[in-house]
Amino acid sequence: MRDKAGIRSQVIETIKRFNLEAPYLLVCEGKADAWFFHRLFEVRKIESFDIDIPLIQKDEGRTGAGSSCFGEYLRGLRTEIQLNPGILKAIIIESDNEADPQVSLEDIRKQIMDVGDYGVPEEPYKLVCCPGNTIT
Amino acid sequence: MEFKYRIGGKEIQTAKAELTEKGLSLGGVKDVVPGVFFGSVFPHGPNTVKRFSDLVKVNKEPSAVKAIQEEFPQVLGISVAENLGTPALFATISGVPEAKIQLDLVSHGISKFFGILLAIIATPKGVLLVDEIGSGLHYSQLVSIWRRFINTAKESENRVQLFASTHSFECIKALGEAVAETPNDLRILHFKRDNGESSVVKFAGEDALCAIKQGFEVR
Repeated sequence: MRDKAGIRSQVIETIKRFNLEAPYLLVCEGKADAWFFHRLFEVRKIESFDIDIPLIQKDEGRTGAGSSCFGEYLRGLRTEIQLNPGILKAIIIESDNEADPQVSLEDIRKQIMDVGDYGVPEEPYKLVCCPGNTIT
Repeated sequence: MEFKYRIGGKEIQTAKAELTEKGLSLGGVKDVVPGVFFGSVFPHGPNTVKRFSDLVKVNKEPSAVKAIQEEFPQVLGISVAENLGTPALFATISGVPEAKIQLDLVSHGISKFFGILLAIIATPKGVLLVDEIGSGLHYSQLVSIWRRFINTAKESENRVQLFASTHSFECIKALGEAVAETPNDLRILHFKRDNGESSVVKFAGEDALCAIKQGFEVR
């Protein structure tokens, strides 16, 4: 039986990199969050999610967590969607509120807007469509 | 089979490849672009020696020699000499004052680097096709070498388009770092085969760069 740290490192390893297989993608701010959701989905037997985290480019002077890289992640994800079309139905972005929930939300909204093509939620927990699509 | 292409913003041209009784025929080609192909197995061929000799004749070899010295400081100089009746490139190597060493025998990576660099310089307004560009090159030098190839290809007197294939994510990651400031220099053509059908998916510019930086599979 592996110890917790062993399982954890293995799970994190399997989180990165993947080919889109599940209809839903949960993009977490960091590894700890991803690990939490991975275990939660495992316990609840939820299998319809891929879980991923944005990679932080340390040499670009970014501070904070992966939340600053959601835009870059979503832009890069378009290549994965192009290579595996018709699989992904929805993306959930998970991020901490930090000191000010509104500021955090606006920051992520701006990142999504800058990428283009993705729907931009106006408030947390709000499901929105990509331009030209409808929610079914 | 048809190939549609555009040169220098001019109208799209169509070249048709047909299998005839005489063999493969390529019709409809108006503008011919000079091209060089490097296979994945990379012997230092006579063409590379000729390209260097041609540069020497017009006193243009110093920039190429400077480039190899900057990338590989152990190389102090390059010259052409006969080896068993065949002209070959020889390198003066730091710490080996007694003899020059045939470049092929110094290092596969150095030899490959120099061969590609010379081909870029010798094929102005042309196309360079390099199979498995990262093989033989040391991982720690990949970024610098990509930059060197790209900057040399972009120089106004060269204007060469470089097509390179690789199966190495390390090599692609280094390419991403090399074009981080100029993502529009980057195009990734991903070849895939599903149920016997081949297709190409193109990623370009900032999207391609972000995919590389975020570790998505683009090979």
